[in-house]
Amino acid sequence: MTTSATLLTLAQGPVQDFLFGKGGLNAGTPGSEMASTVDGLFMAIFWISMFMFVLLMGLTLYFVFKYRFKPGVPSQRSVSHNTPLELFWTVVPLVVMTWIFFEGFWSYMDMQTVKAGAEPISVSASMWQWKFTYSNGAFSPETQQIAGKLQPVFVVPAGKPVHLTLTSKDVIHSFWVPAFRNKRDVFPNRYTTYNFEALPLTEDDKWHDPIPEVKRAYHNLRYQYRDHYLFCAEFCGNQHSEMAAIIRVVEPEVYVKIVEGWGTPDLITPKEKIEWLRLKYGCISCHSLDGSPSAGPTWMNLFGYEFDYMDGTKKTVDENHIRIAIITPNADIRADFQREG
Amino acid sequence: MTTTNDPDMIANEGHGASPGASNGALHDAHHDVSYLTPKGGFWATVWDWATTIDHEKIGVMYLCAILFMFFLGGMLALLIRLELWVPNTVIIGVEGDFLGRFIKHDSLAEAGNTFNRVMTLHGAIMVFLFIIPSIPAALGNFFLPLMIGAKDVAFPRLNLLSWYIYVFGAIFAVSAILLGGVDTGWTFYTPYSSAVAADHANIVLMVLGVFILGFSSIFTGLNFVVTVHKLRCPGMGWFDMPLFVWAIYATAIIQVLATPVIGITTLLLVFERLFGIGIFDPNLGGDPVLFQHFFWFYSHPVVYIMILPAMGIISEVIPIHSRKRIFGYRAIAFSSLAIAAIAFLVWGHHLFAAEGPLVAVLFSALTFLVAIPTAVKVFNWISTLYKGSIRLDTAMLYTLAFLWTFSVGGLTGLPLATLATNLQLHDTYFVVAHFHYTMFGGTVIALLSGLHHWWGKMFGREYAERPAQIGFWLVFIGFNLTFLTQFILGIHGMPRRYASYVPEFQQLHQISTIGSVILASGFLLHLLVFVHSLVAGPKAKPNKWGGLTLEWETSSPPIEHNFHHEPLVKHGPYDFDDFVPPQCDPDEFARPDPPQEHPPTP
Repeated sequence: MTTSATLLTLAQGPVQDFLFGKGGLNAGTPGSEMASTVDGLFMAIFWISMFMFVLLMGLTLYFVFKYRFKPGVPSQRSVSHNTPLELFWTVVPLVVMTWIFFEGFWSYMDMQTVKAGAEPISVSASMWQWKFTYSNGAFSPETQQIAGKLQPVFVVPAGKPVHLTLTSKDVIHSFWVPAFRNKRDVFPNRYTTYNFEALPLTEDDKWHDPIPEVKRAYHNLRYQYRDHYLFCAEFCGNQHSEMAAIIRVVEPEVYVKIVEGWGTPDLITPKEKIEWLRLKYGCISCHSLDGSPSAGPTWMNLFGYEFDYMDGTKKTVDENHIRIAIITPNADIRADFQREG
Repeated sequence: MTTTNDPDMIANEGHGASPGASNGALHDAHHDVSYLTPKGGFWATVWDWATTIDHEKIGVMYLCAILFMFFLGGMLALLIRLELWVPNTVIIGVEGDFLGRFIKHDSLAEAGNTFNRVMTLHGAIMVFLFIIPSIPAALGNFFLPLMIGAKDVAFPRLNLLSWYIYVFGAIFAVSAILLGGVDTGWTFYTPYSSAVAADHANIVLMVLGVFILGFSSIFTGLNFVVTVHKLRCPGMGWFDMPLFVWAIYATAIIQVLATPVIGITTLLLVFERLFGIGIFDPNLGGDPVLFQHFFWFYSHPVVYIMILPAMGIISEVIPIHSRKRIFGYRAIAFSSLAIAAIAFLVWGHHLFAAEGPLVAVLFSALTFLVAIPTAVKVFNWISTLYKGSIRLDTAMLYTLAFLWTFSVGGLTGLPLATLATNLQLHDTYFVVAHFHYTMFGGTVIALLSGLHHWWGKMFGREYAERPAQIGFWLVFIGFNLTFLTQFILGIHGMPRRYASYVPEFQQLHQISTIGSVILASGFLLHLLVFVHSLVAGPKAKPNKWGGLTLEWETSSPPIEHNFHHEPLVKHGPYDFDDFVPPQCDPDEFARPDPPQEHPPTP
């Protein structure tokens, strides 16, 4: 692998920067230890393809120009079959493709292998939300705007292998962090795994400044971080394109403190607690607080109000109604949420 | 010249559509008129077409049907591109958006749903109703019997039946659209399609539509296999067949062998949906990945159902328009069969991110194999141009464009077949761009090449060359602008099937949308050129390009019984060096001097 690794690094340069789009929270910033290997292989394939493409199209254009139709000038006789030539252009691509296959195979196996001492995190996906559960049972109450929608923020340690166990609560989703150059489908009733090691933070990475007025301890830390997008890559219904999150890479010691902080969310206001519970139980994916439309009724102007229901009755939303709605969400369906089938 | 006398003579005999009283024994005068000649009044003509068992009419009916479906799917594609002009959903998305006001929503929960439906229907229409039947059912039906010198396909009634089954299946699919559409994606992945998606009746209708369309495909394939085996005219051995026939033959084999699997799969999906039998739904003990295996066991070979006939057209157009015998005839013929065989072994490469290492490694290796015969074909085509006399007619321009777009499509398959890079690019716009370069840049570009190549033969009218060439440049530039940017979008990290996206991707999306509008204008121009040709085009010559294959021996348009006399093959399909093409001015297609030592033997 050493010789090919050298070959792979040769492929880097401004063309790669153009193709990957420098910077940003997506693929433009390589974020994992495997990223440069995968990018190198991609660029090697790119240049091989470029060479072939220019060769083929150059020949085509040359022939089309050189042998263009001229009145009265016939085509010339030439062989229509040449075994050595045909063998040559069958065997050479075969050799090149064998090399590409093995390069891809080795890197793939590296990505599938769990490294010793990897940090285990459970990831669950549901329509249309990601959730990380850390080894102490904690999960993230933090959110951040992505394209106008509040999405969860998950921390992962820098420079330390991480082993994710993925499962879905409903349909198939796909866990994809473009910066990590890896993707894994997430299934209901089945576990799949995803391994990565986030690159160490550098001087260029942003700083999180302490927020003294907030009561959670980890907010008072000053630490460096780097954000990456997490996307769902397998079509999963209505809000598939909004099933995103931020993966926040922080130093391992900061990671430990933040996850500890998330594990003890006591000293918070009722309003913060609501946000926390909404995230914990995933209410956020179907119910809005501000009246905006979603899969379920908004919680704005809900309690104490009267609504029409599918069975033709009018009911007022009270404590008992809420209790039943939480336990069996489809027991009473509001008339304005009627669905087929 | 003695050796070339025979084809000349045969050609002159068949010249024009004059009633062949001298060969009365071989055909009756009643069928000596063009297949397009109306039978009595309007309704009599309609009835005649609706009950015809003539492969030409059925081919033309298929052509009309698939072009209509292409128009529908294309409009949906434009809607998708317009919506993606901005990061948030504006035109098709939530209720209250522009289109949302006209489309009934079941609830407030439908955010993004209209986009998902449009995206699903674009894929389903283009794949099942347009591309799969496009070249084989339309051009294949028309030209396969002509090219092998037969009067019709082996089972003409089955041929008409398969058209009606196609229409019947299309009615199912279109009624699903009219009832509000389906939002599962054209791949119908379970358990979303079987247990979750709300459009219960529509999904059943759509999937049944696919089931029915499969039978149309099987019947067509069966018909073509038997036709090629049994109805070749005297003198035509297997290696005297035009390469288009080889390609259609290989396609037909895949159609017969692979399509039953999608039939079974869609039926299981309908049962799952209606009765909850628990094959795919994990909550009932089923396996959702099993559906993906079943689905791609058909839907991967199907991409070769789409591309092989396209390759067949390229193999016809290149030698005729460059006056050269095709380079490596047998290599091209056998590579069609090799592709058809390997096509059955690579379905798992759609599941690298779903399955574990064993499946991934096995299918990655097999996928690389399919690249070899494909590459061989491209090398052969380009070698054919060497020392030719190349005319850049619209058909040839499209064929050269095919070499460009298909090379891009093929080469970008390499990082997708490679495991490590696939995991990054899978389910991104890179994949979207890749399969549009092969499906659109391959099949549709080749279909356009074939349409221009054979237009005069099919309808007896010439099209206007100059506007058609302008149309070509609009399509070629628009296509590349639309989809080259999508490769870069995919590498940047844009997932596919997204109604909205993060603002970083907006600039590239806008370039892509501009490209799609240019592309659409090119198609509009082509439509006008074709309509103008049908209404006011000059009468077509019987052999405008100087072709040597048998379809050029009959009149344009062909007569009902195809040939004025039973054809007899005396030379290979591409022996332009040594034989004068039938029914055309021999001076127009100058031939090289005969070789000194060895006079050619027919």
